[in-house]
Amino acid sequence: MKFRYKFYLILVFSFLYIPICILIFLSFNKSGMPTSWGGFSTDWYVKLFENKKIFYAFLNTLIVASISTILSAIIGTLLAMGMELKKTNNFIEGIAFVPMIIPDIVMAISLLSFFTLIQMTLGLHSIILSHVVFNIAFVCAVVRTRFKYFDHRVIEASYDLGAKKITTFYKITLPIIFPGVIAGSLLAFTLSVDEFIIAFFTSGAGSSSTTLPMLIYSMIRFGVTPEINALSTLIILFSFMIVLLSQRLNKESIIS
Amino acid sequence: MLRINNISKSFEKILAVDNVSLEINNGEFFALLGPSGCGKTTLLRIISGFEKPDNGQIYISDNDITFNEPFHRPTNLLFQNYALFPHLNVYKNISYGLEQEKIHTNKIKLRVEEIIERTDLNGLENRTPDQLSGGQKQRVALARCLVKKPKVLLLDEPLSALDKNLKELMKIELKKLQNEFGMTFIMVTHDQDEALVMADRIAIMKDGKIIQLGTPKEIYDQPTSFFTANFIGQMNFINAKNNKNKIVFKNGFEIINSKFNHNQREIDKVGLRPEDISLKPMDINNDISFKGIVKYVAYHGKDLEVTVKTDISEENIVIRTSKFEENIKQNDEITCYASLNSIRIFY
Amino acid sequence: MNTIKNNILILPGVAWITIFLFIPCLVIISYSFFERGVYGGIEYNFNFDNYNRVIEFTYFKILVNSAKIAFLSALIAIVIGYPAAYFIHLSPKKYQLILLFLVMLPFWSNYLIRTYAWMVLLNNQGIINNTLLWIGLIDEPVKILYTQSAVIIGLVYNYLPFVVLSIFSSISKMDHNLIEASKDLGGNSVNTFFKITLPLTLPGVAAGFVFVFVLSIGNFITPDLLGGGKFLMIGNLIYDQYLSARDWPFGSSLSFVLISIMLLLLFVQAVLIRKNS
Repeated sequence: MKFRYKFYLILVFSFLYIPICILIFLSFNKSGMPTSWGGFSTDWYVKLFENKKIFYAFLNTLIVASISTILSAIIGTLLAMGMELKKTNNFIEGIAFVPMIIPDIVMAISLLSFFTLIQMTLGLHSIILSHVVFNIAFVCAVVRTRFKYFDHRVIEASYDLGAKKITTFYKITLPIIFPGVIAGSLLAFTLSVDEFIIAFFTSGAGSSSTTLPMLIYSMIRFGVTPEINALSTLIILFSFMIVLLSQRLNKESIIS
Repeated sequence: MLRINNISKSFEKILAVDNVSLEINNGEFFALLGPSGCGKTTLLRIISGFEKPDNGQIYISDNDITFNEPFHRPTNLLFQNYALFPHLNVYKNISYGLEQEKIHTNKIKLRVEEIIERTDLNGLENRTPDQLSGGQKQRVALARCLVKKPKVLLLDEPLSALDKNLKELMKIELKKLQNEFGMTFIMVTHDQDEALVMADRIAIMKDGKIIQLGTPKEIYDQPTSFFTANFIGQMNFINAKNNKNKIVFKNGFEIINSKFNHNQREIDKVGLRPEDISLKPMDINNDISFKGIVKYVAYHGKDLEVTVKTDISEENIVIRTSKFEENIKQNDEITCYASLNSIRIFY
Repeated sequence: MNTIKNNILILPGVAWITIFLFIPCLVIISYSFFERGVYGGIEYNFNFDNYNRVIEFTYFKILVNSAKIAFLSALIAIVIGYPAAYFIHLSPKKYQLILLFLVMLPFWSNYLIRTYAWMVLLNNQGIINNTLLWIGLIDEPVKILYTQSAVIIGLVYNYLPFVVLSIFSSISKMDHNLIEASKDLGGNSVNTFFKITLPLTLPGVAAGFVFVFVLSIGNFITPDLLGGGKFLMIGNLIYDQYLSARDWPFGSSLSFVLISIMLLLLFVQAVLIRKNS
């Protein structure tokens, strides 16, 4: 391939990766400042693990992400099955699509308004309820792509060979779409872990329902301490690992 | 053994199957033949249970199974694109149906191994469908059905996805298996050649109805309708009229023979199959002959197809004759002969 | 498949999204027709005041500005992304998947963190300024952070992977016999690209453009962090109305305007797609 093409791609990849590399670099910088190199150190990582606030926020995020992922994996898969096994009308397609494109700020304020209106208390549970909404849509979308490679006739073949509907679901449908369910779940988990603004609006006043992104936001906005670089690096590495895992499991999904 | 009574089925406003009745005998190889959209596949799916008819009943050995679910019928369906379970290997695909019958594992093993032997799938047990060729996939799909020993095996265009040579082999294979197992086979196809070669009896379907039912020989030699004659084999159709008990052609040529009893019907066309026309006289008493000029000669490998312009017909007449007639060239003047027995009359 | 059983399958999903998305949206749409109460609650007087306010100069300017920023971001993303997608397509097949994977990877890291990284890069004591100062290209730090340009850079950075993927997909789907036919008929590489390849891959370009535009115009985090918290875009404005000004009805009307713009765009795109196919 011609050199100028390679050169351009190198430029683009630099653009994409330099910011990330800077953060990783800074997390090991003793001085913590981008202006001066204070020597290699893992101090900031130590400080990070000692930070109680960050730890609790991390726990909260884990709780929210895990529960919302499980719920949305089940509901989203059922929805995908319902949509793929019988032709759907545009209305249902729209419902399954909207959560993915609606601006998160709009979703955040509408949920806050709604919860306030019905006088529901806010906390981790309200964040979970909110996250499930868009996660259902994403899980559904990913599982549906799995159905494109799915020959519907195998379900009929299963009936024809004597298996009833539930047996067919467990032995045929589920195993075939399972990689998609896992990939969708990983996507949902990642989205929930990263999600900031909806959590911010629906978490309520207490600090007991602060999630990690919320904490990161306030750290960035109101007082940057260098632990944030270490935290960022860890989060980046963690996300990359999840993506690699997802890639392994569902080879078609990344491109589609 | 399989009785279909007055089955009708509509999809939205389209009548796919129109009041069809049929009886199929035990151990028969039966074909439903027709162009796309004639209703044959719908009928097959009604028999297998994937569609429910609007009217009518289906009986197998006198049991009414019309509204039974597919898993409660003694039928199995060989799907057109095989529908093999992609996540199971060959062995598990085949044993799947037996597992649903709650048969003991050892017995399953015996039956599966037996069928693998008979369908020539030895050595492929551990492969998954994506590791199989087209012909192998078809044998697995077949084995999967046969191992269940259904009363009726339904085949949905079983040879359509195979290449020419494999097709010819499978035609014989399927016929052989059917004989060995003594099972009733009902095959849906749009390929007349498959039906003629494999079936004991054929039902020709058009627009949801059965328009002719008979053995391959009956259907080929005595087509009862213009459509059937045109659909099966090739046929030359020549306009003709009756004049009392004579048949009169365009150029005034007449056939006078008392064997044709028109019963006061108006003749529409006369049919003559290309292979029934010869370039040599056949039976002086029973012959008709006409002259013509050769327009094209096409070499078909196993015979010659000669297109002739004649006076007795507006359209050119096609003749199929031995390839050893080496002397025929374009623009030759020839004489064509046909026996009166080969003439079909369509009213 | 049985309709009743099918409906049971889709019921939980549809119900959840209806209750926790559509009804809340209806709530805020209805709020937009009411007024802010004295203490920040809602006074239920039905009127169009809020929408009149939206068209007022100050707020309208922000709407237009948001559209402008979104448009520029989308445009730049396409300009950068198209060659990238094309050159990846020209690469040997065995590398293509890896390259696309590497393009997508940054997207999987946390949005806040990615934006923070740009803050580090762009601020007055940041890496870029320090490098430029060090090289001697500039005498004083260039103010990039907390400007519109920073926001655009941030938006392009975030959505570039999608654009590359979308265009790549469009290029792959193209019938390459057409390129050969063009060359056979005498077109050179440049001509072939502009007359054949580009027009045929336009759907992917359009999809990418709309995608970036729609996501950018409603964006909050990027303009908030990289724009310095000033009201550069609608997202910031809505945030402020809800949290500081406590004027929920007005915030709702802004949201409604935002959603309408988005829906309009998506609708236009859908119509264009149908026209083309």
